[in-house]
Parts: sequence; C-alpha cells; structure tokens
Amino acid sequence: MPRLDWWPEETAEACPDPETLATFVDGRLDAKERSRVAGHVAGCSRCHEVFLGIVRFREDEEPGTRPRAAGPWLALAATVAALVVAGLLLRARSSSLPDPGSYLASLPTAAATSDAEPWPVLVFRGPATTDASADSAFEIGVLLVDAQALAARGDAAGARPRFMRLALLLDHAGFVEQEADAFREASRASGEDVRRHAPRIASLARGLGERFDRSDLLLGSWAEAARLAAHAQDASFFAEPRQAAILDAARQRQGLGPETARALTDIAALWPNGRDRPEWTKLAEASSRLIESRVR
Amino acid sequence: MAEDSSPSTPEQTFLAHLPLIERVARHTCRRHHLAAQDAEEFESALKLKLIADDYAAIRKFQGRSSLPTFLTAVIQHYFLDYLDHLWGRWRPSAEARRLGPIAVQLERMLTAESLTLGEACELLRTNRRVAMSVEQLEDLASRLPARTARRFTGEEALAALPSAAQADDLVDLSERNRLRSRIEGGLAKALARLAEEDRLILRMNVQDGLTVASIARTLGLDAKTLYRRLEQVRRDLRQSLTAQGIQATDVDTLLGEEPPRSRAILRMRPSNGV
Repeated sequence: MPRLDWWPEETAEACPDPETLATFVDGRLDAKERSRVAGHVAGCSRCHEVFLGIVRFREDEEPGTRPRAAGPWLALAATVAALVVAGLLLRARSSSLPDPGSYLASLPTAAATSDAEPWPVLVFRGPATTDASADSAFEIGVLLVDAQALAARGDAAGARPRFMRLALLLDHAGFVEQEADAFREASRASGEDVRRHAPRIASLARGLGERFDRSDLLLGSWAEAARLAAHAQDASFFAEPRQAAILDAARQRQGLGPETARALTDIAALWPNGRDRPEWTKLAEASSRLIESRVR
Repeated sequence: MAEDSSPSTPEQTFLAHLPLIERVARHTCRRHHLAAQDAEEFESALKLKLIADDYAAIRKFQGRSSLPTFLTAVIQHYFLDYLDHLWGRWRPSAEARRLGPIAVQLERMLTAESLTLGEACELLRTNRRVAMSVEQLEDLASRLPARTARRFTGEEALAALPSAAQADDLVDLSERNRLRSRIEGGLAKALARLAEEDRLILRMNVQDGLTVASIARTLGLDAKTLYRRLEQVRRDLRQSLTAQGIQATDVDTLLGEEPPRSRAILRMRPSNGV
C-alpha cells in the first residue's frame, strides 16, 4: 500500500475537545459538525494522531466486527447497549482470530496428501466483480486454500485455474498488482514446479488482508479448510480451538444472508469435537453449502 | 453519565474501566514502539493524571460519546503530551515505525540527537544491548528516509557542510530541496480543494495505511461506494497536481531517495482504465 510520510498542516480552527473527537468516532455528530471535525482531523496532525489512536485500538480489539451508530441522535441508548453486549460476547473470541496469512501458513496439509479427491469441479458462477466486495474476499479465501493444497501436492493442472481465477479477481479489485502478478506466474508453473508456489500463498494472503475485508477472507479460507478436513475425516482440525472460534465469530456477524446463516448453524450442529461418530459427509456438505451461499 | 452500565462516582468509573485504561495505554505504547521502561512510566503517570484533582478528567465526561471511546481519546491526548516530554518535537518517520523499535531508536539518534552512524551503532550495541551487527544496523539506517536535508536546509547551512562534500552534491541537494518544497506546496493546495471528509479518507488510506474496509467501518460508510469514491479523489488530486505543473516524473526524481517501500500518491496506477 502506498504511504506518504508527510501531510500539510492546516489548523485554522481550534482543536476539538476529546469528547467531541470521541463523539465523531462514535458517529454521533450531526452532519454539519461531522464535516467540520472531519476536516480538522484531516489537517491537524495532533488531532489526527488522537483519532488514529482510537481507530487503531478499536480495530485491533475487535477487527471487522464493530458497527457504527447509523444516525447522530436516534436510539443512542439502545445502540450503545447493543455495542457493549456484542463487544463482551465477541471480545473473547475475536481477540484470538488469526489474520488470513498466519491462518493459511499453519493449515494442516492432510488434504494435500490424501488419496481422496475432494476437489469439486470448479464452477465460477459469474464474472469477477468490479470491486473488492465481501463476496470477492470470501471467494479469494476459498481459492487460496485450494491453490495452496493443490500446489503442495504438485497438482499443477488443478492449481492452474485457481491461480488464474485469483489473478482475475485481484485485477478487478485494483491496487494489488504484485499479488495478481504472483498468481499469474504461479498459473504458468507446470508439473512438480508448482510446488514452490505453495509456501508463498500465506505471505501473499497477508498483503491481501490489507486490501480486502479480512474477516471475509478468513471465513472463506476457513470454510474451504473445514470442507477439505471433513472429506479427509481429519478430527484434529476440528479439535483446534481457533477453528471453533472462527465459527463462533462468523455466527455472531450481522447481515450474512439466510443461506449462509443456515449453513453455519448446520456446521455448528455437526461439529465433530467430542463425538464418537462424526457425520463427516454431512459436515462436508454443509461446508459446501456455506461456500456456495457466498461464491456467486 | 449516559450509559446504563456506568457506576455512579468518578472513582467507581475509574476502577470499573481500569482494565480498558491499561489495555489502551499498552496498545498505544506498543504502536509507538516505546521502550518497556518508558511504557511503564507512561502507564503510571496516566493513572495519576486520571485520579488527579478528584478524577477531574473523568468528571468532564458529558455523555455525548460512549465512555470507552472518551477514555481512549483522553489517553491518546495524555500520550502525546508524554511524547512531547520524552522526545520534544521529534517524531519517528512512518518508515521507521514500520521497521520496528530499533529503527525508531536509531532514527532518533541520527536525527534528533545528531549522532554519527558509528556513535549510534555503538550506543545501541553496548548501552541498549541491541543484538545486531554493525553491518545490520548500517543497512537499517540506509532504509530510513533522508530527513536531515529536507526543506529546512538553507543555503548558509549547505555552505557549512564539511569540506569533503563535492560541489555537485551541494547543487544536487539544493535542487532536490527546491523540488520537494514545490511538490509539498502543490500538494497542500490540491488537498485544500477536496471536501473535508475526502481529505480525511485520503489521509487515512495514503498516510495511515488503513484499508478501505477499515475506513468504511470507522466512518460508517459503505465499503463498495468508498472504493469508487477513493479512486475519484485520487484522480481529482492527480489532475490538480498536474494543473500546477507537478508531474509524476518530478515526484519520482525526488522519491528516488526514499526507501523502496515508500510511495507517493502520484506513483499509484489508476484502476479501471482511468
């Protein structure tokens, strides 16, 4: 991501007090005051540093899950109460959620060496979207896991269309030229040569986490990893606390759509941990439905 | 106080939110790569400030914002005061912060304290017990932005440089300073033409490195439309700079000195065929 180490100072107005800045960040200022404070925060280095400190703390405490008050003065008490409750529920889980890069780096490669053939026939339901939507981020997460596993087992023919689709999605999103080029290069690998691209996927995912919604990228990777693990009947995957944490965080999210919500509920109900006879086929099917509900 | 869950006295409020206060303090110190000792000192000083004068800082809360956000804002203010006390006006560059705490210490020694590279390496390795070789520290120093010769260098200062400096190096440095001043002035004018929120969005993206998704969450905007809006803002900025006679090649010439990972707005490729 491009960075500029200097910004012109513009401090014609007096600095707002801390509570006014906090009210701005909470989204509770009226439109006129909001514009005024936004302009000041953009130009005053000290106020910008205070603002950035609040934003960074909130993002790190609850990445991707903090809703913002929709209007300045409407239903404040209810909104604040909901935020406090949601924050309490989510904090224990979301603070342990990995970033997509570290998640991919530590995924087991059981599926890569399994004799089973879990790979579905790829059906890309439509053209790549013209921007980095949440569904694009989810699809990218799915493809990263597939590409990593197929490349790790030296399956260039299987990995190629996934690398090409990744490059296409990133081209449409913009500002991720390095990553798109890396996937294009990987799609040209043949035979065993494709193996050397597998370790790079995790580091590329870290860069993509800066451009796309990290929670959707992570959820897509998790969904595909769960599907492959269910096919491989890999109980150790489902025994990892972080896998359950990702599922819990996903189920808490707002606005995911009924099919997605249903699939997550089914996965939770079929979760193998502690069961004598896990229903692996049903679990793999539920994971497939989760993926299909988002990859359109 | 507006929140239903708030205790009734300032002291109870302070105690109830002490874990948050400590988390914010530690997070802020980590972000700024403060040494452990300085971070501990700040946390202690912070608590004393919040308690001082019968919890005056907390009594100022009027309920317009949420209490946690208010406390976070107050702590950020106190932290900046603490940095002024610790570092004076000096602040590390964005690149030094990205490179880590040792880079921040090294940059401070080279710029604010005006030590030579040799002196700084010696100090870091012996007094601060940094486990890096001299070569590694020299490599780290080479990746820091060249801040000492920015626009503040006047002709008389150039003339005072050691006699070993070559005449063409002096001319080159002077020309680079003039180019930088022109670009920075042009950028200021171009930014002034943007709407207030657009200026903030651009700064959050280009200088702070926040993702569009994060900016959308922070400002309560739709991420999809924000992507398009940001692209339009960048196009407007490029046109405004070009209209002032500032070309991408001018910025590239100057930025040839910058660390490889630093880029200016003009070097970004437009997307979607614009």
